Amino acid sequence: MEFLNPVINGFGVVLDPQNLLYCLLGVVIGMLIGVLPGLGPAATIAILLPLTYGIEPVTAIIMLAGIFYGAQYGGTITSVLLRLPGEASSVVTVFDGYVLARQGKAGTALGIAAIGSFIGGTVAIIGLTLLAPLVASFALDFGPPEYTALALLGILLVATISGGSKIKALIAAAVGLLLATVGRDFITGAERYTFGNLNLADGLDFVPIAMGLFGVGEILYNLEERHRAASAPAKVANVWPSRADLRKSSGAIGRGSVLGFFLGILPGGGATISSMAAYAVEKKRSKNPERFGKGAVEGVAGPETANNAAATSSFIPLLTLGIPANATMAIIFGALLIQGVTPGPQLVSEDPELFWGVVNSMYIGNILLLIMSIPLVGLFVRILRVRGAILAPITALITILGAYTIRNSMFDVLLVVLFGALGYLMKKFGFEPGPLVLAFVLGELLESNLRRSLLILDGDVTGFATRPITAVLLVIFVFVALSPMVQSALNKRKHRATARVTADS
Amino acid sequence: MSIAMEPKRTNDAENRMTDEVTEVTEAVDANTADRTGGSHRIGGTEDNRQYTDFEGPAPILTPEELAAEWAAESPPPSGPIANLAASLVAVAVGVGGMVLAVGLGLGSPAQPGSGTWPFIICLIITVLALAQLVVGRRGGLDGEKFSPLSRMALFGFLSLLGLVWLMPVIGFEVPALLLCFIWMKFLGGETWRAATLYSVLIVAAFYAIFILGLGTNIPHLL
Repeated sequence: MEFLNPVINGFGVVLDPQNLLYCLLGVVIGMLIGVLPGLGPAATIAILLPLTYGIEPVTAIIMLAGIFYGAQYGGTITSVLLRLPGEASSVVTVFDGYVLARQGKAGTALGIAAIGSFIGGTVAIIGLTLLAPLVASFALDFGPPEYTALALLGILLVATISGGSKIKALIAAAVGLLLATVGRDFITGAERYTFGNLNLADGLDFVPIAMGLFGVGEILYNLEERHRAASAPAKVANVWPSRADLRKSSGAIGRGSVLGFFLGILPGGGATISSMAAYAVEKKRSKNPERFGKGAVEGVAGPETANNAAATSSFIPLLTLGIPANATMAIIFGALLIQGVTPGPQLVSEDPELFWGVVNSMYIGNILLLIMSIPLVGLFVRILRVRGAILAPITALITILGAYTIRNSMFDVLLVVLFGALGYLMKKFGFEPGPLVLAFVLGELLESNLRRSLLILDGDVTGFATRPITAVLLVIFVFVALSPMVQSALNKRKHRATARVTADS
Repeated sequence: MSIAMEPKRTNDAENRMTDEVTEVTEAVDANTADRTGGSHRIGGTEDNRQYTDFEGPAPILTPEELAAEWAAESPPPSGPIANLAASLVAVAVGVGGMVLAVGLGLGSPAQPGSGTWPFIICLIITVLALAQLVVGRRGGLDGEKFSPLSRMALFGFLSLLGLVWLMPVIGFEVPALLLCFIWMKFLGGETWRAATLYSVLIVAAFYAIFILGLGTNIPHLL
């Protein structure tokens, strides 16, 4: 039972009134901003990063985790009420959620989603509590070569799993690594890519980049896509789902929790893939799959449970290995670094209070989410009615003024705007901003570990292959890197073969 | 194919926009009346209108139909020219970065220099960009074509730059007010009255929160 002591102490941290208050604040603000069309969890956290400055690290992370959960649920609200998925992970919720809303059961859909999210989140936190220390103790022996291989693999996985062009995603990731090299070289002290600008001597800061790419980039993009005007239903009644609905969706919630937990741990996987997988599983298992898409409660319960479970379990690679599994985790990673906390295997043993405080705050965050979401749905419906034209300058000003308050620097604000333009253009030209931000965050870690490994190995690159863990990671790396090419080549051959067959016949 | 589609998309987008503008202007009066009256109740007329909107025209769609509708609504992919341009920019970044990295000193594997790592990354960028140049020469499914509405994003960007330029000179109040007004009136199609009223309210709220409430050092006039 010795193992449980720090876990219980962690509850002490969370139950501190100040932390509770910030957790509540985070959940509410996250839901508020998450409800705004076009701003998903990554953009929401990015825009609100300045809020966490000047607060204690534990409190700051508790608040960010709250924002994360809130934003996740905010996306569900727009999916159900407006048929506008707030983020990729609630796309499948639209299928049945919106139909339910049309049938006057919006409350049921939102209620089930909230309960499912709560259960999925809780199951995932229990899993995290048990699994994280194990992973961390395994990773404690990692040296620079292992970290190099792990970081490379993480970046590659996130870039290749993202939708759209794989090559473009990899280019975005490489640009992120390049941006991370700007500033003074930490070993030789030489200035790299600063072009004599004093503001760049200390390197580019993570916050303006994330706020620009995700926040301003989305805001600029939404200026163009304003035609998706919101028209929310006037009333959302009966938020508490009926006993029959609960019984119908209990299986979906159970399966969603487990599925989401495991898919969430995988880099690049996370909430989106698990929600889609959960929907597919529910449809397949159902005795009458034709109900799906016509208002099946399980079609909301499964994916919503799974995406919350996955969102929670994606904290595992971040907190135990120091490798963020997706763009949102990259932002939380950046926020931790700013607070002077380096996530990694040593976090559990060296700073147990912080580690368990954050983990346990997730329980509280989930409970608060459940308590807040059901009575507050009416309020969120009202926010949905505020027109985009009025919300756009508000979010822009929050971002700009927030960026200024970080270091009282106009240069930071300029960076936010410029990276906003970059984010907008990347979206237009089909480059994902996620891999860029992730690679930027890991860039310094990757370079320093690579250079240390080369020093350890005396410049002998083959030395990487002689270390078992590194070798395994590199083999996976090569496999992941080559598999799309092999697959497309196979598809082409198959295609040609079928073409020949049809031509022959 | 994408070129043939463009005019249609443009018309659609503009129609949609004009529709929305009229819809928005209709709704504004009810809403402003509400705000000025100091009541928290959301305008009754607007409620009814939106309720009927919601109950009315949108048909129930199967997931497949919905996905097809989304695909039809979303703008066409950016196409071959955009791919060429993007790839060339990436090649330029890669080559430029390599030249600068050589200047920093490449070192040796045993003694990596300041330029080693940047050089490797820039080499990767160049190779990937050249690959993308070839692979995407016919234009892929990714990206989005620019539409006449993309002007909005450009204006938005320029007005943000204006804000950044003016803020240290004359404080945030006036530039923020202008930004709100321009975005609402010219980018968002609000009425003069609504845009003026909301801009003043928003700037006042930000002043109250950031200057009076949080006591931040944001440059301000008053």
